[in-house]
Amino acid sequence: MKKFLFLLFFLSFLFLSSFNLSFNYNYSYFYFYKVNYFSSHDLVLDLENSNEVLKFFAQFDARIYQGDAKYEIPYPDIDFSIIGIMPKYLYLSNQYRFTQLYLSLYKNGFNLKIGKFPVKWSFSEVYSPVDIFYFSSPFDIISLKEFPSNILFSYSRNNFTSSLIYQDNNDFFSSKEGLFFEFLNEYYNSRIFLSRYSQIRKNLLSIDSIENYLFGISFLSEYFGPALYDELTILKSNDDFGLQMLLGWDYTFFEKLYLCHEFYMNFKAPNAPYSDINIINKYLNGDFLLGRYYMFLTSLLNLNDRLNFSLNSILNLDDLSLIAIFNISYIPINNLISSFSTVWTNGESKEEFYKIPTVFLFQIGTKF
Amino acid sequence: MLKRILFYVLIVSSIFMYAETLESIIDKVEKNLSVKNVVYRAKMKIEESDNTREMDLLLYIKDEKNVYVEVLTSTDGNRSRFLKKDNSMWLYLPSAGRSVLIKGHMLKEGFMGSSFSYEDISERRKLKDIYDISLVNDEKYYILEMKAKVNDAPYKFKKSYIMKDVYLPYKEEIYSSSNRLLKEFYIEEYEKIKDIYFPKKVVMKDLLQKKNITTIEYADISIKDKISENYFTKSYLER
Repeated sequence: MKKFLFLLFFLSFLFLSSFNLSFNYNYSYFYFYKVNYFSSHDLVLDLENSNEVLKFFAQFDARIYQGDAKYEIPYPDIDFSIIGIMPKYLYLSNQYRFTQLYLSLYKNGFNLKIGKFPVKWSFSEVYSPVDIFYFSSPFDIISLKEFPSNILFSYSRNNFTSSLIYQDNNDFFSSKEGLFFEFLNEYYNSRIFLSRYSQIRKNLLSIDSIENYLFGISFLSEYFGPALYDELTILKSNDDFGLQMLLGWDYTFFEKLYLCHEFYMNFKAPNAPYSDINIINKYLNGDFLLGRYYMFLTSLLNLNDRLNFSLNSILNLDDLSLIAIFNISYIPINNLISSFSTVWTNGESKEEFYKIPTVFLFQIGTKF
Repeated sequence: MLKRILFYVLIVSSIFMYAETLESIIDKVEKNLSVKNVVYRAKMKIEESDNTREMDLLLYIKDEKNVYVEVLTSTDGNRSRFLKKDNSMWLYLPSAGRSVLIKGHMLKEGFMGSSFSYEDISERRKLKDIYDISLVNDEKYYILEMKAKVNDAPYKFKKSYIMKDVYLPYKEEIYSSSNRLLKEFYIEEYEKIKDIYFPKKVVMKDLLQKKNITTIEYADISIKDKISENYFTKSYLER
């Protein structure tokens, strides 16, 4: 399969004679409050060639770290290294990889897309359980974002789009399949999702294989002015059923301030206060959220063309712990972008967002 | 008595002639500005106080409800694509690999960072459905004064200077509700294709910014009998 994909990309590379290239360079300086600091050089290259039928797109990311490039597993109340399930620190090494690489064929409303690319099903700006094919935490300012390998087949006619997706995650037990329908109308946008995916769920004592079936519907309307949306998902994990819901709205005030406010409910999740086992399982399985009720906030203030501020946060409504990211972005001269970001948490021991070292990130970059 | 009758007939007929003239001017202007089934390329130059960006665009316009725009090349690496389907507008960002719905409250934002707002390019109602229009006599131009009559009109007041020979606005002045001049729009060049006068070079100046001028030059204009629906789908946008 991989050889075939490589051959396909190589041949298309030969056929497509001229490319559009763009470069993005960023210097980043990370500081973990009272823990460590390091820096990185990041070069992102976008390469594209397309016509009405065929499209090739590649995004290559080379990141070189300098200094003590490590970060602490963010739950210092439990030393995972003592119980032998996770190291205390994760060490970052230089990375050179294609983060996107795909070939797309389009004819008469049919589109076949093969390769590494993101798939987003939900309306949410922060998190939604329907985004099973790709999800990236908005609070993760360290990891390089690499998209998974998919085969996507979609068909559109007028306002209706349907797509079928298969995601290959190396072995059968982590492959994912999904079916997606979208309908646009003058007053609303509605979507229906159906997917199957297997998961290996770890806990301290055992490893379980879980077969998940997800059914979801979502609906967005601007009839009343602000965009109002909701998503409802039913997840069947082996023989258990769980219901999850997302309600949100967004609006731009005075053409400068964008606000998006979302409530997320997972009725199957544990109640606060959380046990150590709950916390450990969250980190072992890489779950994004642990509890039942959350409030998400996404905000952006465009003071002018050169200066903007953003604040994004998640508040756990059960234990009132919080994680937030604040960013200032400034363009001092042409093609030079500078930004300062900080991620911090507020919570007590046993709460979901227990106090972790505050992370500061300064970036300066250019695009050409 | 006869003189009085003649006077009334003259008054009434001049009112009718005047109304017909205003209607016909608007119809001819709208005919030139809302061309259907057209494919063309455009070079868009965005000049700001200390920054200039250029991009080459490919546009497919079936009608007011079906518009597709693709950035072919740009000096800042922007390769985004835009789809207008009925009332929905989507912007596809290849580097992020996702399309973003342009919601109603985002319509005042600049289209691809230009002085044209999404609202400027998305408005598809007839002028007379959203504005009370009056004609001001002038030797050189038909001056149309357009005052918003619906709450969701893109602008509160607009003044359009229509060239008498080709029925295209030479200039449009866009005002706020407090009568402040917000934007100026010019058609600097045009070309007659079939029986339509097609703008070839347009300029939009955003007067609220220190310097924000967008110039669009159209090329390879091709008016087709029909454009396939397939260009105006999310699958084509996200391909």
